[in-house]
Amino acid sequence: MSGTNGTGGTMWAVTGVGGVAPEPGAGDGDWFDHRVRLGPRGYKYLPAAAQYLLAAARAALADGGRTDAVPADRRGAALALNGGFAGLFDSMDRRIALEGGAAGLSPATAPFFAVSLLGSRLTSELSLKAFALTLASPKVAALEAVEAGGRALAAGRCDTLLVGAAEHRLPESPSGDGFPAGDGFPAGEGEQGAVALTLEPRSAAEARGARVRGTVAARSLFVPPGRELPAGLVSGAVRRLLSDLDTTVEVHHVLDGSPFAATVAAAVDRAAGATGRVTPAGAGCLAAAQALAGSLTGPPGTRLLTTVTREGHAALALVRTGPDPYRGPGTSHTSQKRGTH
Amino acid sequence: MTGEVVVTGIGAVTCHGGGTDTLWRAMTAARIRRPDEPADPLAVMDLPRINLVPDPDLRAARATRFAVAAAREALADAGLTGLSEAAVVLGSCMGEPGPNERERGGDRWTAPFRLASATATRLGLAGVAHDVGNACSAGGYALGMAYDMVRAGEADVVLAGGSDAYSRVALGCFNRLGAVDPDRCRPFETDRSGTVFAEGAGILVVESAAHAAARGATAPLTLAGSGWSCDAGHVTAPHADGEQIVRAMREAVGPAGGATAIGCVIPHGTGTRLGDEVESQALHRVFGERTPDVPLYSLKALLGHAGGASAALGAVAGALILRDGHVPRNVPLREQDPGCDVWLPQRAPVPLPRDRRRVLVNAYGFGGSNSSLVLEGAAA
Repeated sequence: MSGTNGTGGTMWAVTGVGGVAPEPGAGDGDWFDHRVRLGPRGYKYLPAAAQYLLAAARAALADGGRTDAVPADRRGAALALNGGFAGLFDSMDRRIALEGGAAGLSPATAPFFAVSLLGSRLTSELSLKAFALTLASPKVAALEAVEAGGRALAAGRCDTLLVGAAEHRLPESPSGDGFPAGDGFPAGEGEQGAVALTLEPRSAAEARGARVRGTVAARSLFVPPGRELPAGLVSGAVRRLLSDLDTTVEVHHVLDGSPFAATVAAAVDRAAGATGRVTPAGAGCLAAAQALAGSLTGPPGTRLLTTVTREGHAALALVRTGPDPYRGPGTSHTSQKRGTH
Repeated sequence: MTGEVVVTGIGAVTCHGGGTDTLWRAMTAARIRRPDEPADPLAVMDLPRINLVPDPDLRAARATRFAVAAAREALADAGLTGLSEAAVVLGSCMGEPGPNERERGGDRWTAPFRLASATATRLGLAGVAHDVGNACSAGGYALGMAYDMVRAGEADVVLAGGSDAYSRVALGCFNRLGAVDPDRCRPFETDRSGTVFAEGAGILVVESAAHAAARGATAPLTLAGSGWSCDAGHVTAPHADGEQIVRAMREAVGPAGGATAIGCVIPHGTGTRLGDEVESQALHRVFGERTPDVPLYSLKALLGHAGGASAALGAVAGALILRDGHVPRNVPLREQDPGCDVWLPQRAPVPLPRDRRRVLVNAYGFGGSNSSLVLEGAAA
């Protein structure tokens, strides 16, 4: 009995890529000034992750993305975060539990107990009314946003899509008593910044003369920790993304250091016929998003990005930049499958 | 994307206890339930009111516990015990918040949205696992994702729904926003003054019709439509014109004629003043002159507002209504708000006509995150 039986997927054109992140060594408080990045008024009470996301989205539009190429009802958003609001939640919990109670909370920030408000200002400013989907699975959420958002595009829920991921540093001391941050990251650390991409069907991008940064598709997998990797699961996922014409594939793994991550990465390498380079995952989903943005803005080529977590999540994204091997008169934009053509 | 999508199993955990039988008994009894006060000495707020699942351990991973219990019931209901591969898509407003709140059992910060992976792990399911964080419409988005996955041929079986549990931060924030009714959750009543949060989980087995037929599943329900939209406006309040919630409903019910086959609506209806009014007016736009003849089942009057689980519990309740063939009477209203001109049956169950065996379920969240879905019963 099969739970998943994917049949391949469309490669979506990426017309804009934007991001914000601190320079190495930048202090926590001085790398992002919302008054400079976003405007002098109206952004002070937005959580930091939402500020970063808005700045990244504006950068993606400045890079050529055009969410307004279609009516507002046809503009979707697929957003991702893990610990982006964790610091805010911790400060609110401290106020409620230890510092006088809920009456002392700021009414301006109280609504943000809902993580989906990561995108509230973004959807408002860009009139993204088709939907705003929020993915939050550990570390893979950004690639899940590409996958789920792309599926929504294919389902006709929207005609353009803004994919975004944002994180902010983890709380200093969530329990107030020397409580360490999780997942191997010291308290007060974690990721900071955001990435945004604008996606649409390639035909639509070309029809309006847009520059296409590249094309992207993503797939995700899950295997319960401790269970042997089901035969063919990873190779099947890779096969559904890559095609016979992807003769040279550059592989990049963003891994959390777990044995499961190493096992999946090795399986991806075997399936892709390459040896992937490995970089560390962060505390949240931003490292994979940044790697994806880097793939899209790099030199021409075909790249396979993998991120895998100890919880059993794995996500893969295929990026093609430069000439599309399937572009030509009468050809579709759907990635043909290895072993099926 | 053309394949038919069916629902072959349902499971629920609510403030009335575990199991869909328990839920149906509560629905048909239609009794008023007063909110609980969590045994949390650090919940310093004026109205620490919430409808708790009868499980006293506030230090446990409650949202996961509820999701797993509901998922087990749904799989058994579908006749899918022993399954080793399936997709799991779970919506939640808060994920598993307890471990990151003081004195609730955690010893390190953990990403709160691990419900899908934890549920899949406990059930031994490989495939995919997605956590959806769309606030109080999360369960509706999760079911919409499941719908898309099956129609795209990406999955044959998806366990989809939502789960939410007590969060001190969420309840404190709702207190600060003045959004908690001091009495109980009273949608559509004249003097309602907010909502009351609730714990719970609702899980559905969403399956391709071909897969269900091949294994001999009989008389399944159909997940007939799913609509999403976003107000892209105010952070907390719905847009007064209701344009986007109308669009989500229309997308879910389908093209011309779709609305005429709806025999029951399970509204979002939380008890907030503006929200209930806007939804009532939107229902008039969708159903037109039929509106007075479309019964609403106000689930939150019975359960409270289960956040990201509410749409999934609405879908479970819709499935129970379709299986039974009657819309239960609602929890009695003291006085219905004349600004909410909708039919909330009070005295007796309303039979579903043979040509209206469809239930529309609405769910809306902060940020104007709207979802609607339609369940259709097998031919009577």
